[in-house]
Amino acid sequence: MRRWIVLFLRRRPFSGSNRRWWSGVVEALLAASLLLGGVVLAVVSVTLAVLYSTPEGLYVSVWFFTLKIVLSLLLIAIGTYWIVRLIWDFGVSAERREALATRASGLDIVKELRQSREDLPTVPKDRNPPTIGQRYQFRLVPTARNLWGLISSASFSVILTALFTILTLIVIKALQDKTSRWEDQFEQSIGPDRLSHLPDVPWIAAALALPILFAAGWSVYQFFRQLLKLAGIGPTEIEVSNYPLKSGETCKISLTQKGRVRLKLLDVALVCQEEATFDQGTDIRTESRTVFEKRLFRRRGISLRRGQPFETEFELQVPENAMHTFKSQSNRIQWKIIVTGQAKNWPRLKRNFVVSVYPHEPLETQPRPKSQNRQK
Amino acid sequence: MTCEYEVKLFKNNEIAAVETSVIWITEGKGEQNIGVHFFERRQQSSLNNGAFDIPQRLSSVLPASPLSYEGEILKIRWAVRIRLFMVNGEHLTEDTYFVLGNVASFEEIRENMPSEEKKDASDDSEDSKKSKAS
Repeated sequence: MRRWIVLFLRRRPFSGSNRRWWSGVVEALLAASLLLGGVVLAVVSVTLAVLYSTPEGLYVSVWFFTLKIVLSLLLIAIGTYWIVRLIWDFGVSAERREALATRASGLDIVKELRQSREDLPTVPKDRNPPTIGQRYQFRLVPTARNLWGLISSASFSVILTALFTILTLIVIKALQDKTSRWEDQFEQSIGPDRLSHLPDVPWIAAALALPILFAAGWSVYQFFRQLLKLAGIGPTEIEVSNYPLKSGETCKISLTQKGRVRLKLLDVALVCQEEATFDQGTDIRTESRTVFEKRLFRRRGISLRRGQPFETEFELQVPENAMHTFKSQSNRIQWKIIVTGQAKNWPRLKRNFVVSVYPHEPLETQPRPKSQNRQK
Repeated sequence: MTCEYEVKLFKNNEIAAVETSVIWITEGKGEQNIGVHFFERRQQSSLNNGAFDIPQRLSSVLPASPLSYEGEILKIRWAVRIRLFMVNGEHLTEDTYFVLGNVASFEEIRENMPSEEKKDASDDSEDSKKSKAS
């Protein structure tokens, strides 16, 4: 038992070298079930106590009620902790963790990159600088995955499940009371008097319970889906032969995709996006537009197996005279390598690797036609 | 970069100060951002009599970025801005745009792409249509 507790707190029970492809799925399901089970148990215990307890005392003994509450809180705590660990292990990639370590250690290669950025105003520094690669010199760090979908679906499922449980218990309690009263009345008189007590039934609660059940079911489905997305398909690694990229230059790319699914399609594209932030009324809006997209690699029908990741190499050329990476207060030009994949019955895989593109030297300066000059 | 500018004044017009700057400006859908690369302000006291009888020279080493760019929702322009402050409180601004670097628009880049890559791009759009339809 102690071994399991230590294993759970230090590593995750299904992690390690013998980790099978379904272990991530089982972990996600177990963690989510614990969390939701704890919520349902807590809500049922509290609601029953409110509905059935009398001023004289609780409907069950105090120690049993306390035991149920403690158990439910324990389940919620374990489930939440487990999910957070899953998110950390799957959502934050190994590359990112390594990047954090690299930043702390201040390797020369990263220092060089940072220094060169200072010579290029408006070319932003990498938020996640590349780390040292194995096949090529630089390993790109993927953009952190968006966890808001998971957090919002988890919150909705917990709230809606709790709400549904409360409403169901209220309706059950009312129906129990009603049935006993009906039985008493039936013995006295049979007839229209029965209908006069119908308003006592909590019809609003009964009417709300059904749509809330559907909403709770949908949010639980979305929650599991988001968890599986994190836990199912393995990490994507991209290494490049030279970095930062420069317009017109070619570099070699190595792509490694881990996991254990069959990908129907795996696509890699070089994308350039413009972003503009502006005020619209009282809101601040950001519009993003893809202005350039070039496919670098495409393969259909890739089988990923445990210990046998898919590996390939191809070339990337930033177009000649293409715009470099740019960032000002309200505008941005960003280059990305986007890896997309689709596996049967799995959520769509999409991993972004933001890359810096530097301007190509030497510079040229030309006067503009006089008609474009402006006088105020 | 070196440039010259001339100021022709009407009689009775007196300059209180001159500001010369080399700037980049963003234009397009987003809020306008301005970066000042070079700035110089000359007060009346530092202007000699007849200072504007001859062309004034401005010289600055331009940075490597940002380069001039004509995008879809964002444009980056470089300009030399001369701002004259008159004694009567009025001021006059003249922007002279220039191009820094040789960045092509993505429309030009797409046009110059090899036909195979163009075919790839059309395949992409077909695939996306199919996936939307499915």
